[in-house]
Amino acid sequence: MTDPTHFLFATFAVSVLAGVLGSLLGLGGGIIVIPALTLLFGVDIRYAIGASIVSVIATSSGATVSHLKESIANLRVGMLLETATTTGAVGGAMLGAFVTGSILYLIFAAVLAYSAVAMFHRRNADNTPNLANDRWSRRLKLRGQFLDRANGRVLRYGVVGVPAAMALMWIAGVVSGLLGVGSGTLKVPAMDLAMRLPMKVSTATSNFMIGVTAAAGAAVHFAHGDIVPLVAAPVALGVLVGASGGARLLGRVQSHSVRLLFVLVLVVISVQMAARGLGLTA
Amino acid sequence: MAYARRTRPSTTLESGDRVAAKETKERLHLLEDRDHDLQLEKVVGHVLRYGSLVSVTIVVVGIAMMAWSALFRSQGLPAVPTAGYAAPFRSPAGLLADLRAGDPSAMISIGLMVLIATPVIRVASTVVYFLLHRDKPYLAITSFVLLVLIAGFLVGSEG
Repeated sequence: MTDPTHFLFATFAVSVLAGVLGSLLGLGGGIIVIPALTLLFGVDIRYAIGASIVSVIATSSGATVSHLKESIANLRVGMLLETATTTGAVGGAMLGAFVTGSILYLIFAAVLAYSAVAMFHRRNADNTPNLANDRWSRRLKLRGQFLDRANGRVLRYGVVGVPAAMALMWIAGVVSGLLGVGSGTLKVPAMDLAMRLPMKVSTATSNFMIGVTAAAGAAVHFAHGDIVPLVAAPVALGVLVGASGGARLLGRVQSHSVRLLFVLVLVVISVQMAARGLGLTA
Repeated sequence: MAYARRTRPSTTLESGDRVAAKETKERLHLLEDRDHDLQLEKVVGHVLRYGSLVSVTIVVVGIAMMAWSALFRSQGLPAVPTAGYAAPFRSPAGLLADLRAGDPSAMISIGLMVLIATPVIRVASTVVYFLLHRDKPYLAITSFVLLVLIAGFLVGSEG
C-alpha cells in the first residue's frame, strides 16, 4: 500500500523530469510517466495511461508558451499536419476494437528502430539547413526562420516533402489512437526525414501539435473515469513546471545534442515496444 | 554584443548588385510573413498561457482543499489507485453536484478539464484569427481540425 502523501510528492518530482525531457524532445512524457506510475507505485495501467494523456497536454501547453517566445515552433507546419494527426487519432481509436496489439507493437518497434538509424545518419544536416520549398510549402507559406541561441545564428529553412509527411502523420495519429503511445516519437522523425526541418523546429513543432492529438482522445478517457484526480493532479503540475523550464533549455542546447538524445530515446522505446510485442512485459 | 554584430548582416537587406533583385523581393516577402506570424504566435501564446494558469490555479486549490480535510477533518487522502481500483464514472452534472458539496476531487477534475480544453480553445482561436485575416487556406485547415476534435469529443462522450 503506497502512502498517498509520499505518492503525491514523488509523482510531482518524476513529472518535472518528464516535462523537461518531453519539452526538449517534442515528446509527451508518457515514456517516463507510465513506467514510473506502474512500476514504482503500482498504479493500475488504465489510470497511468489517463495520467499520461494529461502529461501530453500539459507538456504541449507549457512548452509551446516558451517556444513561441523564441519563435522556434513552425505554427503553419503544425496546423497543417494536425489535419492528418487528428483524423488518424480518431480513426485509430475506432479501429482499436478490431486490431490485436502484439503485432502492432512489433511494427511500431521496427519503425522506431529504422527512424533512429535514419535520424542518426542526418546528424550533420543541422549545419546546412534545407532551403528548398515544394509546391505545397510555397502555396501555404511554410518556410520559416528562427534565431538559434546556441550559436547566435539566424537559421532560415525551407520545407519539402509535404505529401509524404502528411501520410506519415496520419499513420502516427492512427498508432497513437490504437496504442495510446507514440505521440511525439513518430511525429519528430516524420518532420525530420520527410520535411527536412531543422531538429529544433521539429521538436518544438511536435510539442505544439501533441496537445491537440491528445485532446482528441482525452474525452473518452475522462468519461470512463481513467483520469483520477490524485494521480493526474501532481502529473499536470509537475509536467507544466518541467516543460516550461525544459523549453527554455531547447534554445540554448546545440542542435546535434538534441538529435543524439532523441535517437537514444527512440532506441530505448523501440526495445520497450519489442519486449511488449513479444509478450515479455505487460 | 558580439552576437548582435554577427547576426545583423544576415537579417538586414543588402543593397547593390551583389544581391539579385529576385532574392531581395523574396526576403521582403519573408519579413512580411514573419510580422504576420508574430501576431499569430501572440494569440496562440496567450490562449495557452492563460489556459494553463487557470487550470493550475484550480488544481492547486483542489489539492489545498484535499490537504485541509486530511489535516483538520481527519478524512485522509484518497487511496492510490492500484490494480483492481474501479474509478467512479463521473458525468458533468454529477461533477458539479460534488463540487457544491465541497469535494476536493471534483475541484481537481474541473481544473484538469480546463487543461484538456485548452488545446481545443487554441484551435478555435486560430479559426477566428484566420477568419479575421481572410486567410482562406488556413481558415479551411483550422476549421477542419476543430470539426474533427468536436466529432472526437461527441463520439468519446457517447462511448
